[in-house]
Amino acid sequence: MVVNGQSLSLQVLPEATLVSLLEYFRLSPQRVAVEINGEILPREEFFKRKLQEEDNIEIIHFAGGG
Amino acid sequence: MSDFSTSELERYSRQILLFGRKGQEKLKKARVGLVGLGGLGCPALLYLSAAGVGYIRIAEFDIVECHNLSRQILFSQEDCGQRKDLQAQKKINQLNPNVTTALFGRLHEQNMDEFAQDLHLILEGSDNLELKFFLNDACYASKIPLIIGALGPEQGHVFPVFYPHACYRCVFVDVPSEEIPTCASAGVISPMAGTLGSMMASLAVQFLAMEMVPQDLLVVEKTRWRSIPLKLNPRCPHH
Repeated sequence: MVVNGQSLSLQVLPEATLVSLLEYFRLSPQRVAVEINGEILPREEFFKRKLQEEDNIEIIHFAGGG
Repeated sequence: MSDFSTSELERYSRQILLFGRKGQEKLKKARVGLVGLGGLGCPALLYLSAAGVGYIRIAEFDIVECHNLSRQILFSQEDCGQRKDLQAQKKINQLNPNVTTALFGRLHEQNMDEFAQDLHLILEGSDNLELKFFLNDACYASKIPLIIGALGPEQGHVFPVFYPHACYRCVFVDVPSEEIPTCASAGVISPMAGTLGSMMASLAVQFLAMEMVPQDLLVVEKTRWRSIPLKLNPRCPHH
């Protein structure tokens, strides 16, 4: 799959899930928005979303600094 | 048609080469709002002013603190303890006396209409996530173009909100339930603020002079940039 523009194999994750991917990057699900294959993922689907090698994923951080 | 002095024509000659005298006139007639004179607002204000935006209304209420100086590049050591907006106004008068700056003070929900009155574009570079959502909603409802800048310790972004295209809520939906790291709590790479603030000004100038409407979310992540095409989210309350 492609995560934030860079290749990443699903095999590095303990499970093929979005939660596992966010844990891999040490990111709290509450602090990011996630786009998968061009669609923003509703927050209620974060914990059930499975991932596939063809997925293109953008993880966009909430940022409050100015 | 605006009249340019000889010195203005010389000052802006490299821009006029690119977007013509007509584009430069559009910049001179432009009225822009800027929210926040922090790490994003400082470079944005410098570039908007240097490029010849005619009128800039600044919403800022804070004072300069010495820990601001590593990234808030309008300010110098002697500005510490002084009002940011007043010091910025002095610097901009020196940089380009053809620019009018107006000081608005603190922006909040009750004075938003007054702040936005007659503006063609607003740049948001505050350190307040709630304010970003509020400005998104207010500008989208009144169809005022908005460019939101946001800076975090790992990632920052520039988010254009141009009605009827996608808005901030299309991606971020709502203020998060968890506290988000800020420059004060988690640190910041100073030039990253400059990169984002300059990009905000660049999008602004291209929109004002050439009517180019940005439609990508620009994300900077330490050593990398990427642009993500923005799409309307049917779950967004504005769509």
